[in-house]
Amino acid sequence: MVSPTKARVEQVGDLALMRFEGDITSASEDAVLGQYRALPDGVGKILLDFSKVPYLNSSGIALVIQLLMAAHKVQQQVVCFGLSAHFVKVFTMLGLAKYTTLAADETAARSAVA
Amino acid sequence: MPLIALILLVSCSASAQLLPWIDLSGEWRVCLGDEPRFAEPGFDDGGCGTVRLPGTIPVAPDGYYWVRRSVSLPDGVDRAGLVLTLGNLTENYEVFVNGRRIWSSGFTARETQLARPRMFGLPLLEDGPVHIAIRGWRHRFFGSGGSGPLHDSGPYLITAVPNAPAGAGEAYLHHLRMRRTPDLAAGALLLTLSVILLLMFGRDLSRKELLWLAVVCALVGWSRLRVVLSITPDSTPFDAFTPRVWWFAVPFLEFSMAAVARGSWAIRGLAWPAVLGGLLFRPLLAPARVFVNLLSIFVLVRSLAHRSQRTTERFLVVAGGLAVIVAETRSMILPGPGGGGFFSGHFRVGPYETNLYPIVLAVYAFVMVTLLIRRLLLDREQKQRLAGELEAARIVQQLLLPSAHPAGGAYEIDAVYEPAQEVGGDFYYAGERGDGSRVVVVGDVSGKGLKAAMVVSFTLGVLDREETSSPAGLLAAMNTAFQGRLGGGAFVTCCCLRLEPEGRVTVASAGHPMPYRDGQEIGTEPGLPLGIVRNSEWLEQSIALLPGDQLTIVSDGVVEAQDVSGELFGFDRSRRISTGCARAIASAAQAWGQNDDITVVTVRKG
Repeated sequence: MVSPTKARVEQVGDLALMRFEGDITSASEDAVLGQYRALPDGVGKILLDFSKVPYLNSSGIALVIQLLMAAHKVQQQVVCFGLSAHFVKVFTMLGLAKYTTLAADETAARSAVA
Repeated sequence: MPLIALILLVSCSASAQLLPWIDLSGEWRVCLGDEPRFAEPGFDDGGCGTVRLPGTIPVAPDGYYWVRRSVSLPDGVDRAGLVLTLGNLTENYEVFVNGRRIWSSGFTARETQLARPRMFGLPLLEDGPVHIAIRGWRHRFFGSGGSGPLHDSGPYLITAVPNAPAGAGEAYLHHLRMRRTPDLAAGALLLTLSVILLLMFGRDLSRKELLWLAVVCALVGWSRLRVVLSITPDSTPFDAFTPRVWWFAVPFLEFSMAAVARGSWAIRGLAWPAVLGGLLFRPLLAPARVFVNLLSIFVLVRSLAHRSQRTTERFLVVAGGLAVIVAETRSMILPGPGGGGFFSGHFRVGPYETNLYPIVLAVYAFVMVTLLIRRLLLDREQKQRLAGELEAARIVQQLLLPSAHPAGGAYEIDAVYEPAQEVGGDFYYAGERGDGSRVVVVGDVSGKGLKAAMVVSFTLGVLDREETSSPAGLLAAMNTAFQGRLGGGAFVTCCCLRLEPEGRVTVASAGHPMPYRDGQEIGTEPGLPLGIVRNSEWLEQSIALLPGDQLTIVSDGVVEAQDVSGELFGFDRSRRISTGCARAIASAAQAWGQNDDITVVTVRKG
């Protein structure tokens, strides 16, 4: 069963932490891209927390890819953490390592952008 | 007492006859207003007017009247055990016989009785004429000039008990029920329509106007049924005829109109405060309701004139609601069932009578339900048409995808495709190339359904046109073709293989699950899916297959099949079963829980 996506943003200085909760699917555009587009100018580092995301389907991955492409275009550094082993492999398979760093947890993610 | 006198007395008593009846129809004296002395047998009523009963008794402005007459009983009749029968008098009255009150209905509004013929047992009457006086009172709700909801047809009698006309009252009540048959029909129809509207609202919860209209129909329908069900010997007209329930029906109708009519913010903003304010201060309720009704009429008339309201369905909905509100407003401004004629709100057709308001509402609700059923049928037709088109698209897609067992050559290729819906976004392709090699392509368009299927058709066309046998070249060609065409961030994962006759296989992958070779993953270089970055490049790698070796390429529909607990089939299970045939692998994923298109292609070196 698909649960709706919730998103929350915590910002400190030029670092924005976007926390997602629930499955990410085609219905998650507001939560993923909407929240990203609402980030203020000046954010240079973005952490994406997937620790409470049990599942992303291909449409949901498409949204994440759009976010990564947009961030790459404006030279924002993006780190993803909290992905399950399955989706770490999927993200790797998709060649997204060029656009984001995959970290094991929040501590590792923060270290990656420090 | 001498014995002879006693015998004579007994003889005289034994010979007293039962009074058959004395007909009291005819002229009675009438005095308008309340004059208690009218009950006294000796009261001089010479200056009073006359009225014929059965008939219509005029009523004074204060609602009171007196009628009286005297009658002489024949000699020799038994003056005990007599019954007085009166016709269809007004709802509240008292009966006096020889100056003594024998019955009273009470004179408050709550004690108002349903006007009907009644019988009264008389006390033992002394010798001489019998003086009968009736003090009546008519509540202003019923207006003036009437003596009951139906024409008074009596009877007016004095009889002995055995000769009394039994069932006169019941016969009248039955006649009254029959006369209100239109209310019974309107009530039953409105309640039925209310249920239908509620069921339709259940199918589409966004259509609040259906809920409000269902409430209106239920309230008015029930009030109409009560009019008929309340016709019992002990009922009070206020139980049956009170408009209390109606007063809350039209605000719901106004909310129903507010859901479809233009400029309805005024109705929404004012209807409920006005009604609630009137409930808190009852004298304000009627003026508040009239005000909101008039406002609604104004808004709805303007709405009808606006261009956006001029679809037939919307026009009928708004015009019908307007008609009901006008009918109810008219009945509020000019209350009372008295009188007749179409525009009075209360009217008679032959032996039947009813009120205009429930008839208009029933017709309106019936039209609404008819329009809704029509729309449901049209929606169903459209769904059937779409289903037909999807089926056609499925057949076309099956034709476009190559045969499941492309025959011949050094390789045996097997393929199974199971879309999640009628059509899907997975594809596979096998084609010969000019250099003697064969290319096999397995891909997956993100998303599902018709949109993804259209991309598949386009992709197969690109592959058919491309002459290169280079997997990376094929990926680049498809990527270029997809630029600006996929929309909405969609992408395509793809795995391309070139199969050379001697066993050399070259692989390139654009974000697709890694192929398996005899149960082991081939570690392809990761690459971006197609359609995202214009000038992406993909790396190729080559392996050598020995006779009997099997390559298996799956789409993510296999890896991400999900069981009821949410557990994914996963890469590990996919790898373990990858040595099986294509059908077995696809079936295993389906049995686990298909939630995406499933494609499995196996390539075995001969």
